[in-house]
Amino acid sequence: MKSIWETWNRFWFKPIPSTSIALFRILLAAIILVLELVQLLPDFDFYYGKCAPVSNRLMEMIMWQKKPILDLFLLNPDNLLWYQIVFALTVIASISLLVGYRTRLSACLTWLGLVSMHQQFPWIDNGGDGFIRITLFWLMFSNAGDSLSVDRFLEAKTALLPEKSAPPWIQRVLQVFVSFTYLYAVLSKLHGSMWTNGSAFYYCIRLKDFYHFPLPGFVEGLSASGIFSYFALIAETGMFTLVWFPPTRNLALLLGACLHLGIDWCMNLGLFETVFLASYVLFIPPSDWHYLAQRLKQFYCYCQRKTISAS
Amino acid sequence: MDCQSTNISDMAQSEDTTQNIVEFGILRRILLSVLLISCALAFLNLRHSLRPVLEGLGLYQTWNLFSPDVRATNFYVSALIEYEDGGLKMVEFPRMNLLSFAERFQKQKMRKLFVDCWASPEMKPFREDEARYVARLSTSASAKPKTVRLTLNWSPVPGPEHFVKRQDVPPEHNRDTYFIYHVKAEDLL
Repeated sequence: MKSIWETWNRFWFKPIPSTSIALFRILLAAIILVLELVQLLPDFDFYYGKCAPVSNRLMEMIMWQKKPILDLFLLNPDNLLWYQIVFALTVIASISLLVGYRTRLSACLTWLGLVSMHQQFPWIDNGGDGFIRITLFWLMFSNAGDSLSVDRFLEAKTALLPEKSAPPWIQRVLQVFVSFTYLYAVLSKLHGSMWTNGSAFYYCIRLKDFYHFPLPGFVEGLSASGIFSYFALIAETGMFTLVWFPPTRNLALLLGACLHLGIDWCMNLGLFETVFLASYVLFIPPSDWHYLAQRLKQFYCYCQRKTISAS
Repeated sequence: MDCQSTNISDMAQSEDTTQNIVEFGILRRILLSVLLISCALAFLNLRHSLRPVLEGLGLYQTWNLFSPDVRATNFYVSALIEYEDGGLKMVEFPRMNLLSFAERFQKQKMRKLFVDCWASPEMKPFREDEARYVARLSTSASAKPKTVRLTLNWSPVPGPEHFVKRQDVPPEHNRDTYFIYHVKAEDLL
């Protein structure tokens, strides 16, 4: 019993440096900014303006049905200026989250803005948007501003920031959540026949609305379809099994990364693949980031010495 | 950047001395443990009961992309507009396979709307709004729409037993008109 409590305690509460969750915060905020500025802003009027294909009146009657929903737009319905203000504040909060200024407040405001946009016009959201909202919700309670952030700089009052460690329970919640999504995905796929008979990939790359980049000929064949369909099941299974054990963690992340990069090459799913890839940094221990930083520093110094000796 | 030689063990040692450690007390650990376990149990047992709350907060999401089976049909929606003067006009919404790479990324959310949602049964209550939107788009001073027909253009993807290459996937030649709307004057305001 004591060892179970110790293991539980160590997993959720043993302080670790906040580097991984801080990196996740930066990547997530960058993705949110791309979402807002590249995908939503150019068509803002179409999605949320007076010319939107679906009216607020009908949304209220059919979708919202007087249920309690979190939507800042409805504080001043049908007022485009108010909608624009909410959107602009969400963008500012996202930038603030990126640089880590008042990190928890920024995460909260960004989440509120994105939830409002989702409630206002849910027809354009995919799983990637849902993933962003859920992870942002948890980031509000996290120590993601303890590293690589303006907050940390202001706290330490120095450019040479000492590392700060804290109980990683939010990072663990996010890791469990990411693993759970893969478990759910695999179980759902096993309910059908296409993934087990190897034809799923064949169909996936022939859906015209998902066309992305051109594919080499061999990828279109039936053998390749079988291989890639099973590979998807294996890589997803690794993300809720192998990823939890240090010796196999990197293998699971590598397989998962290959899966997402491969899907992104074949199919246009917007930011769905990118946001899942970003979540992989949560599984990489801070010591690995420090090792990488050290190697980069050594490489930089080596290049500098080369330049000096050449001149 | 300081380029004095350092190694990993030096760095690890310096970490030990410079780390600023925040610890949780035992009470906080127990409370958080109870909270985490309760949340997990509540989520597993009451998932459907919790759905309205999670939806209200934008936190409800399923993870069954391309499952249990992959869709085996290509389709897109178009609208045929008949004007008061008898003229006809076909309106197509952005089709991803006809856009450039950059446009596909930028307009990706429209794919979700116009392919996954626009003709789906869940959108049935919004059909009139859809048609009114198309009518507004197609109105000019000289041309007033009289009727809007929303049409689903589709074709099945030939199965592996009738193997086709990606570029030979047949066009969406089947057409089903799933909604006809007679435009009113106030729709165009």
